[in-house]
Amino acid sequence: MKNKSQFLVEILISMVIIIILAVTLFYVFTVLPRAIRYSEDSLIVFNLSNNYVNILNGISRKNFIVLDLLSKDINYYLKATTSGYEIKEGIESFSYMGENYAVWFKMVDPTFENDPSRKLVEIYVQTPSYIYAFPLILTNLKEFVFLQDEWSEATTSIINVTPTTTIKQFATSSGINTNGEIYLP
Amino acid sequence: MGKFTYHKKAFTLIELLTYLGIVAIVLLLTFILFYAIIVYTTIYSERLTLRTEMYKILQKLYYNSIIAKNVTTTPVSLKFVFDNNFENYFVSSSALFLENNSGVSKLISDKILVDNFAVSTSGPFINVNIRLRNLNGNYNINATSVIYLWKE
Repeated sequence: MKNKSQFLVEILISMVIIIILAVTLFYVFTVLPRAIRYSEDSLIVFNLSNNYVNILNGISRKNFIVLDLLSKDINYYLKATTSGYEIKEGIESFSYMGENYAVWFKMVDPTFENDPSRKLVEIYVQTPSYIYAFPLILTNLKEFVFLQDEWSEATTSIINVTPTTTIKQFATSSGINTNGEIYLP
Repeated sequence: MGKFTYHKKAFTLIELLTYLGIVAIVLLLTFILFYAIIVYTTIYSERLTLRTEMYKILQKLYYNSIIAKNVTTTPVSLKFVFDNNFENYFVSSSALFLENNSGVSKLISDKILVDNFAVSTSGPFINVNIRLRNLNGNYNINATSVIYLWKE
């Protein structure tokens, strides 16, 4: 009988080990691929958002009046042409490594802080897991600036920012909750 | 010395099979676990290298487009001109090189190769398509950087 009870104990211990292994395997097969996926997404989000920031800033400097034609809360995307980029209604979708991604932007406020020369847009990048939103203030900026005094010289309106910050000022105006999603140069 | 006595304590066939079955399952799960960890670690490491290098290149291109005074392009090279310096990016022997006042240096890790470095223009915008792959050739990463020269 002693061997029988020992046998039962061994089976119980083995079952516990099997359960621990199964849980660990579940973790490995679910969490690790997701970690890899999120890391991949981070580069795509960085790339697409920066591209849209550059293109929209280019458009706002070269053809600011085009932004007045955009309707509020409608989805737009940027389409390459031989002479630059044009704004189209809709969402730009594409597939990468078997997963679907999308990028677009919206005109959130065409007269930001009651100033028609400043437009608040939000750029969205959709990954298989999340939709990331990036606020961006577009203005008829003459030159990229880092500091507030430069900003005031480059624009006709002054935006309240931290003077020592080194991020793009047009993404950090007061009243905008950036949640850390700002564009580091 | 005590007398050796034999006690019959053999398992039944079903008990033995159950025992062996559990041991087999434990061994199999352990093998799968270690194999999966090795595979995922390898994938993560290879792709992390690719992502890091791509980040490095994209960051330089985005930042340079902000501070450069001028940009000149060819279909296979990109040259930023600054106040007292310049940076010329070009590919040779599947490696990305950076040329500046200090000379020519390799910009990317020895663990990766450049499959594609294509530069095109679209109005005031410059599109740079970059494709990197690892040495084994089983993983690659692709990105198109759209840069806009601020100081034009």
